[in-house]
Amino acid sequence: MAKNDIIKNLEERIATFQDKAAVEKIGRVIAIGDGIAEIAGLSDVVSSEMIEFVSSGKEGTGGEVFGLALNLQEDKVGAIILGDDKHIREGDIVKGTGSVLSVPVGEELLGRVLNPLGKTLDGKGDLKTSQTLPVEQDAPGILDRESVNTPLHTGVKAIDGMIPIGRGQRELIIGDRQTGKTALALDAIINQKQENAEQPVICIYVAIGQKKATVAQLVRELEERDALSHTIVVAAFASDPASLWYLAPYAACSMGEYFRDKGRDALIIYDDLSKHAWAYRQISLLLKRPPGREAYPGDIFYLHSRLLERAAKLSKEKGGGSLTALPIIETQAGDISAYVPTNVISITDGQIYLESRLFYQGVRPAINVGLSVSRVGSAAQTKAMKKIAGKLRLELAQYRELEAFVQFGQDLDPETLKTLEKGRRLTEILKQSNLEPLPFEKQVVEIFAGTQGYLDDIPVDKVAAFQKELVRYIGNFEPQIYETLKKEREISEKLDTLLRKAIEKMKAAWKQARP
Amino acid sequence: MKYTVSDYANILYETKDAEAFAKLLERHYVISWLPRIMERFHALRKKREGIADVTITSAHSLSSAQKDKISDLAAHALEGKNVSADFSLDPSLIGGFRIESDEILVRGSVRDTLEKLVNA
Repeated sequence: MAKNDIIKNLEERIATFQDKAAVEKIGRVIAIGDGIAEIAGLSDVVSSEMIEFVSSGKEGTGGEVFGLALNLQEDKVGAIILGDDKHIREGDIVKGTGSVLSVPVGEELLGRVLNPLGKTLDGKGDLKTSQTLPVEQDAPGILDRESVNTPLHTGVKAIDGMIPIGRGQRELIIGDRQTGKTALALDAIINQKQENAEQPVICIYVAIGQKKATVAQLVRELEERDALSHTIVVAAFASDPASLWYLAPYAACSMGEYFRDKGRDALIIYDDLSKHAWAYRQISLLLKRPPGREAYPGDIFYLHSRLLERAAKLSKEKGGGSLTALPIIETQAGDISAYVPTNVISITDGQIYLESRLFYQGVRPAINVGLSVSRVGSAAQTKAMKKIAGKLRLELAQYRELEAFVQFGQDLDPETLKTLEKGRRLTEILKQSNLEPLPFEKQVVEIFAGTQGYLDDIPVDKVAAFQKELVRYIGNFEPQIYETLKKEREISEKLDTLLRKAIEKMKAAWKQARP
Repeated sequence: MKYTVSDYANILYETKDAEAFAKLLERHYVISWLPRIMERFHALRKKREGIADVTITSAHSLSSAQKDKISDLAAHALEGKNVSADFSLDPSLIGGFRIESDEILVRGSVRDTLEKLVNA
């Protein structure tokens, strides 16, 4: 049957085929190299329009390479090449496409690994989605927004307790290399499934300039913890051209905006924006834009502000969706006053500051609670957490102040000693292993036990074990505590007494087992 | 104030005084820019005077009436610029012609039609 059908089909197509020689506006490559092309002609191209390179001899073979027009000058156009520039030669024809760069979006992207142009990298076949969105989109306006009012639980006690993040917030994760920045982000992704298994917050992880092995490892870890099904990974690898590094966050943001505008909640992690700034610096210098401080171009602030401004909590009329952004910045030797870190700090609604000193002391996650802030998230914190964690912050601050004295080994009065002992236990509570995010209700129980003084007579090195046992005990014998906490999200008087009783009972049993 | 290659090309076009211009370049220590300035100058002159270089390729040799007709077509496509046409032959086009300039491309040969059909 097939043969005749195909012939018929072909005949039809040829019969309906019409060709009219039309005037095509073209340009010609005058210089090429380093992922940048200079093009003469293209008089009607617009800024950030997609352009098509037609390699000589390969015309019409479908093997075209695309570029993005960035510099429009009097006599030439500067463009970045999206992909392989090996086959482009001087004198090659360039055509405008008349459209801005777009990426595929949709539910189908979940669980996939993509490059910034929407090509799949995981070998699970091509995307079948027909929807696309432009890479560069305007941020929602004032009237479309609502203030942050729902918490986004990361599963990390120190963050959810003291530096709460709300849906639609932009919270920077900043720190030196090897301080656990990516690990924090991964915890947040894994925790979304624990929080709401039916409709988890959609997570988008953007790897900018990372090693392929690192990304592969990360995808495997997500898969093992059943966290890939609600996640999209967008990766521009270290071996990819700078143009792809530059595009990655914008492309991923559009993929997140699709869910935001559908009324869903999404979380996007940019790992990391320092490398993104490097890529943009490279592109700008090669396009001969004037260098400024640290050789970054003049619009480096706008580069990140327009990206992060797209994170928003939308109003009910607009569907009430949200896009939360967790940009990551890597500092050099703890210098948060460098150019790009200060820019991003001032754009975001707070920062989580990780320190290598704390990391090597064994405080993991190595969050410096004193320097970390969340400027809008406290409005979204659950009542339960607000009640118990307010005290936590104060007591930890007092402890840090006194900690300095202890190093001189003076005789301390009992009051001071008590504060110190408590501070040590609170620090212990906030420690958490890598990739083990804790659901909200369990966090409340652990922090409650700490701030209410139930740990004061437990040796510091046994605190972690005690907490683990406590969480297990309540899960086994008093599960209604978790259920009520999950449902009501506050500690009523009734729950307070119930919780106290449970902790006391468990503690008695614990002491009996360890005389 | 630092001047660009374009600025110098402009000055040369406006003044049309080669001797004074050479002295200016010497005073500004930019004699070495001369090749780039001249290149820019020619482009500028063509642009200002509305001259466009066009290559017309055909499969078979054209009569002068045909040449005129195609040149007019090119002038029309280039929005009324003065076209200085350069004719060449390329049998691989099979039939018809192609107009190429720095800014436009008109693909009117049999080969182009076939290529478009393959990609349709």
